[in-house]
Amino acid sequence: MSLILCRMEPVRNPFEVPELGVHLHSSQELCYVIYNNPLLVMDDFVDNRLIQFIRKDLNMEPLAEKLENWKRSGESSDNMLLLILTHCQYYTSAEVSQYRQTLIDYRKKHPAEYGKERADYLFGKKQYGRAIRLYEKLLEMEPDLVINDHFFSRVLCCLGACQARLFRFEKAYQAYDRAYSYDRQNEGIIEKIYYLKSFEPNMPIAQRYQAAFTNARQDKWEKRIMEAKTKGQESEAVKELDELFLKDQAQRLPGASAMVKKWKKEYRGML
Amino acid sequence: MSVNGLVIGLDLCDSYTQVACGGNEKIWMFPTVIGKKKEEDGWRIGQDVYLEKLSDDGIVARGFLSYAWKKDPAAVNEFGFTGQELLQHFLKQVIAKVKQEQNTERILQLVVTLPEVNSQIMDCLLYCADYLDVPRNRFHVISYSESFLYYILSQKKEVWTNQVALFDFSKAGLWYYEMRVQRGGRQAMVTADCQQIENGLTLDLLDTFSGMKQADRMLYICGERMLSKKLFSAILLTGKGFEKTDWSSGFMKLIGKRRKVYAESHLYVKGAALKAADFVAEETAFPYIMICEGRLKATVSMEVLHDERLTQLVVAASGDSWYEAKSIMEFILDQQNELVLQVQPVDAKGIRQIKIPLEGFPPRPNRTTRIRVRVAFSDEKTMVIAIQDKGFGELFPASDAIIRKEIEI
Repeated sequence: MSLILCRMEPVRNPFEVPELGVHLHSSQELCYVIYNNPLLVMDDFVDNRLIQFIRKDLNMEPLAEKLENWKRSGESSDNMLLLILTHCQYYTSAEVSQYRQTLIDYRKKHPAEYGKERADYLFGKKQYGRAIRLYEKLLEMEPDLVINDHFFSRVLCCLGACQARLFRFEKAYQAYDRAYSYDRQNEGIIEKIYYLKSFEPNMPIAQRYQAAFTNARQDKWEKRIMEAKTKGQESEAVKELDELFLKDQAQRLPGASAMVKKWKKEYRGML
Repeated sequence: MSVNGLVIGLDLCDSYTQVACGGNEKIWMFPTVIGKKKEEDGWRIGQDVYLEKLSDDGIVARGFLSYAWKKDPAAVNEFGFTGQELLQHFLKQVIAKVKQEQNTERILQLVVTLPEVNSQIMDCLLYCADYLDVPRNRFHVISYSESFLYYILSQKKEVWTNQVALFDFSKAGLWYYEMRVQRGGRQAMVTADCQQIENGLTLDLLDTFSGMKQADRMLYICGERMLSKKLFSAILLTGKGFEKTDWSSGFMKLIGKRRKVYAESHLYVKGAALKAADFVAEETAFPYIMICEGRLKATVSMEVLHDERLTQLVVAASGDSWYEAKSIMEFILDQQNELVLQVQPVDAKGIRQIKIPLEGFPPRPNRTTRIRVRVAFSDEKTMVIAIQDKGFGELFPASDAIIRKEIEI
């Protein structure tokens, strides 16, 4: 139990992290983002823009200078991240050591596995556009022991999910179709194609999938669709919307405006 | 006058206002009276006021300090002016006269000394400083006790080897001040206590021979009581009552026993000017912890984590001027849901802990609640603390919930 004394930081231009849809206003927030999002920051997070933020807004000239020198001399980005965490003292030495180990563990992974984890992370942050680019890069990799048919199938499924979340159902179908070609035993892919079809009934799909939509399967999947709909109706976001519409016009309009703004921001982030 | 401007000490008193400038022996004295012609804007002070008094269309205001110190700023006198307005005009005229004589416009420091300093007086005087165009970092208010300390500490050390007493006999009655120095710590501590002697002694008594005798007797008894069993190296006398001392032969004999006695009519204003000069000096000539009226008598601190070590952060130190002891700090809560302040009085050994629960702040993951703590004092015994929830940027938005507390220290 303690109070961490904060230095006064004259931040005039907050640092934007578009992947998270936030601006950072302090060194503590910067450390928090680095610590909790290693996959986001491991590769090219420490750039000139960040160094300028550290220098001008956080008023940490010695740290900025050191990062600049390290960057010039080709120091690893992991070390630069660890330097920031150590310098800002938001995390304890033990926590920084733990973070170092996390970075080492990621670096030990096969490039394809690491790349997929990064793409999955972006998917989790609703950064579908960025995730799609990473998944597509993974598909261009040469096959080896790790990059096999099963891996390609997994990547294509994720790609399909990204496209579906962007309402690009045809592209999603194409991704699932390719995924199925790599893993014909995966019934889950057929199920996802069924869901796409129920969203977009006019979308043409191959005959083999039509045949796979047996009555028993359809019943099971329809039940799941109903469950998802019920869950959606009970979600916080829908409740928030309902509450907004119950308000009088004077209160509803500013609320609706703020909500639309938020959605637009989210959607821009998704692309 | 300093090379770059004026360093001014100003003793603001109901009857007379005195001004002294650093580096200048001259003391300016003005009756605390202000006047003007009813239809004109120009205010006058000093002898000019009495010309207004003689004419039918003139306004003369006296005793406006008590009006100015009143809580209600709209309280007006019989001429329709608030005490604050009259004080502002009066101070402006006083300063203008000094500036004119010293041939400079710039004020480097202005220290006002008063018998007592409270929040209402402070507010009023700070408005006056704004009116005078004196930036707040160049404007200070101190008590007579503090002026007394500055004056004594500027004297040769032999004067204050032991305790020093001051008897102030003026229109306000008899006041007794006592100064002592505690050496041995990292920094010597100088303490001044003051008390009004309620023995019925008034200046009116000095109008008659029998009254003088009675006053001498009263002073003698008081002196015996205050000075017994203590070791004094000097006794000082000030105030209108001690302008002449031939009426108090008995008292003089008592206080002069193995001690030096000094009479100084301008002690407070000189003390204020010394403090003003000290503000502009590169290094302080008064490296002491001063404990007196207007200064804090306890140190307030809290335990914080800095450089991964728990350390005691001093929020306000004993000896700080209460109205200047303001601070703003920001912390991040690390598994903590309360603020713990430690209060250590200067005259007691015990440390008191004050816990302020941080209720009403939204729950968040650990270390993602930043709080802004503002500390100020409404008088030397009352600390006002405001704790504001600042969230954690856009990651965990602030609720701006505020907890306010007044704490007796």
